[in-house]
Amino acid sequence: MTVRPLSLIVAGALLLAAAGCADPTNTGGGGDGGAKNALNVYLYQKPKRFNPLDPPTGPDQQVMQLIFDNLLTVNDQSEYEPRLAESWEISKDAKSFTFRLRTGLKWSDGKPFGAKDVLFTYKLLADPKSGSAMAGKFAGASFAAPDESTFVITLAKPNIGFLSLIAGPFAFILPEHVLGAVPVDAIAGNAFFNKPTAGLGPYTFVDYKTDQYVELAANPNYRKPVGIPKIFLKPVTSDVATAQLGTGEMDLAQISPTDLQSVRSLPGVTVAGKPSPGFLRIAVNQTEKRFADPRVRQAMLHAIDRQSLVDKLLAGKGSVQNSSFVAAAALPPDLNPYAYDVAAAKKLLADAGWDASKPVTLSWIPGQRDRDAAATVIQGALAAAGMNVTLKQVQAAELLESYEKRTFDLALFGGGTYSVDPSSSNPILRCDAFYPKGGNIPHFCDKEIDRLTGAADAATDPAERSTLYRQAAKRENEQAAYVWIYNPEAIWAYGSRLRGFKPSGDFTVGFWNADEWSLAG
Amino acid sequence: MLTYVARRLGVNVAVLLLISIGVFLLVRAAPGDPVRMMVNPEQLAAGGPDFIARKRAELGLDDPVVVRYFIWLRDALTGDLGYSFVSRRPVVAVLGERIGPTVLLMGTALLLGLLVAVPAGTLAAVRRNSAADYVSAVVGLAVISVPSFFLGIAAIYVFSLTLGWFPSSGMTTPGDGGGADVLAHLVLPAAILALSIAGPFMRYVRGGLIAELGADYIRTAEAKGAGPPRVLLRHALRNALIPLITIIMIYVPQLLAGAVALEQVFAWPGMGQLAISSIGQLDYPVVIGFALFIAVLVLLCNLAADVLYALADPRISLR
Repeated sequence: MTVRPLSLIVAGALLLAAAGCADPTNTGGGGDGGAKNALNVYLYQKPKRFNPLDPPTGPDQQVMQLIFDNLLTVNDQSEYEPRLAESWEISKDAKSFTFRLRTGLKWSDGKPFGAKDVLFTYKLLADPKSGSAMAGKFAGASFAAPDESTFVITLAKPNIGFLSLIAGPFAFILPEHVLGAVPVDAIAGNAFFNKPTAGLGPYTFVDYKTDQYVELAANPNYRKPVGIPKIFLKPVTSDVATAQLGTGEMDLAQISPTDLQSVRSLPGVTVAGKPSPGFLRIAVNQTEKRFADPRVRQAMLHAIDRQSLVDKLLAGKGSVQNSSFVAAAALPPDLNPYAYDVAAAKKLLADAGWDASKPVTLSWIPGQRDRDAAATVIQGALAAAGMNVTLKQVQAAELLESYEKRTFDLALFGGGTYSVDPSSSNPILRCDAFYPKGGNIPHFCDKEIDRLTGAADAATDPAERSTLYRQAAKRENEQAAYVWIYNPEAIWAYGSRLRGFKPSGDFTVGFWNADEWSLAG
Repeated sequence: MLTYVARRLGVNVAVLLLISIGVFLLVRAAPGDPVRMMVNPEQLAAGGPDFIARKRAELGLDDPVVVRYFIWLRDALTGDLGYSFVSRRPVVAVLGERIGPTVLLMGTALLLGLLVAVPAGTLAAVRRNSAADYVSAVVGLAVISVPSFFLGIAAIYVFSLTLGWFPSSGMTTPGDGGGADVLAHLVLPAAILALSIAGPFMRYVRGGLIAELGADYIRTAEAKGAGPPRVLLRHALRNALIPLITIIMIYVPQLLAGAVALEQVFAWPGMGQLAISSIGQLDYPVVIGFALFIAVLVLLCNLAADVLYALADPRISLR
């Protein structure tokens, strides 16, 4: 048998190439070049799927905000913004919430929307069998739809802060006419959530080219005309996003403060910052005896020049944080600012009997430039006060395991959504919320704070509630539950084509007014 | 020949089974818990105490690893590799849509690499110890020595950001995706991957050709009046390229490893990108599926190397 080796090789390689070509070249669709009437938006991570029952993650929430709608959201002023609910009333006892729904709305597939869809969705959200990650928020609650345009939630216990649990990029209403027949325990895995076929948002879902881009088109059945025919959401690296802002391939992106300088110099790009709803902090493992003394944590706060971190790492776009509460109603004016004071730090450590010979490990997930730089600066600052700190870069899985096994010393992390209502800070402070039951990673526990916040949430008078929260915040500030570092501003950069964008401090609700956007030219 | 192939396939199945056990145990030994990874610590309380427990049960994480393995094996034998923890889609579908882009990248790189390596190697062999030989040796060594991810970043900076000739990342422009668009995205990653194999291939071609050119049959051919081009192309090069088949087959897994790194750099939506993000998210079923895919690829390439060699060279017979 004679085989010509060269032709064999060439044929093989061509075959390989052809097999690869077959797929990508066929899938372009109509193709408008992605330029003129399409908006290109950056996603800071790859979206997974679009299921409001799943544990919330930023990129999924950003996409869901465009294709779905919910009762109310949070606007750029950190206030409640009506969406499907035109208005709402809270009963005197803070247990019953009545929502008046917009009437005459249609799903993107043309079917009518009504209170039955809202009832269907909230029953799913409250039912652990559906795989809902929000079921605990609705424990004991009951739901009713007395007529086509009214929806009522009745809580088991009074909670004036309840609205904050459903406002924002959560609790998106699902179409009963599509999902109503699916058994509750099978709904989480339904393919609808990979490719939603009906929504109430300003855009409809067209396609998700996994890890490449999400394609959306204007929803013709939306309650008002939508200004942009197409949106592409692209999960690329922040470097690529910054570069594409300059080339015009990207119209809207959230950027890191470390990129501020280069983005500002791009022609036609506007940069806007807003205080974020979360903050960078160090969780100190208080199950370790040496960290249980509040003076050790206070010393760490004094040892770190946090204002200079804000000035240098964030280019001034941020503020020093001195509490685990962010909502203005919960913050008293007289919090201890823990000013930069190495001598005070040394004294506090000496008073607490600190053993400087024993090393301390600071763990964090690397990858965010301001955070990576902060870790190094903090290491030096703590060393100057007499703490022998080693830095340890870890993967997310490893960090979470160290939380659970309580094997970490110090963990540096950021984020959180605490600005709308003070009760959102409770899961990181309460004695019954130690990780993995809740978000209390440092195992901080103060019964008096629990009592104050519990009483505040049962109070129906806003002034009384605010007073109780301020007392709790004052106590928390004195005990240094966390080593708070800074609240970074959320920074958006957008090209001059995009009109009507209103930047929010919370990236996850960044597209809250997408139905008001339009493209110039 | 057929018996040989059948026997080798049998051995390969056994090897694959061992690999699957190893991969299964290794993946489970990785630190962390995939369900905890899904939930932001602050949201844990929101799900109620039920959520984590339900999710673990649903994903089958509570069963002992031996039970899990046999359930997985039973399903795998019917072509079902389970569902991704993250996207909830079948692993076969998730991997399937990534094979195309990776094969496109690797295939183009292989073709480009050979188009460079064979002429350059031939030239270096024919003009041994000439300037051309030295230059190709130095350039070849240089591209072998510089890691391709570095070349990738440098190429993005020069050709995408500074010169603006090619797109910097991805496989398509959203909304376009036509052949020309894919080609424009393909140029940089494929060229860099091609460079990384052109170096070693060129040296194999050179070495093989030098050996052949010194053989007796070449002198015979020359004595019979064959001119230099005919001697080179019809006789020497043909024989020199036979060992290259084996080398290419053995290089395919290595090429894939190179592609994994480059896919990260260029955001190319292939298997490598999928593998890295799945490992980060502890998406066990996808990681296991990917590892097995690599194992199958390596085993098949080794088998193909032997079989193709026998087909191309009549002196070799497989029993």
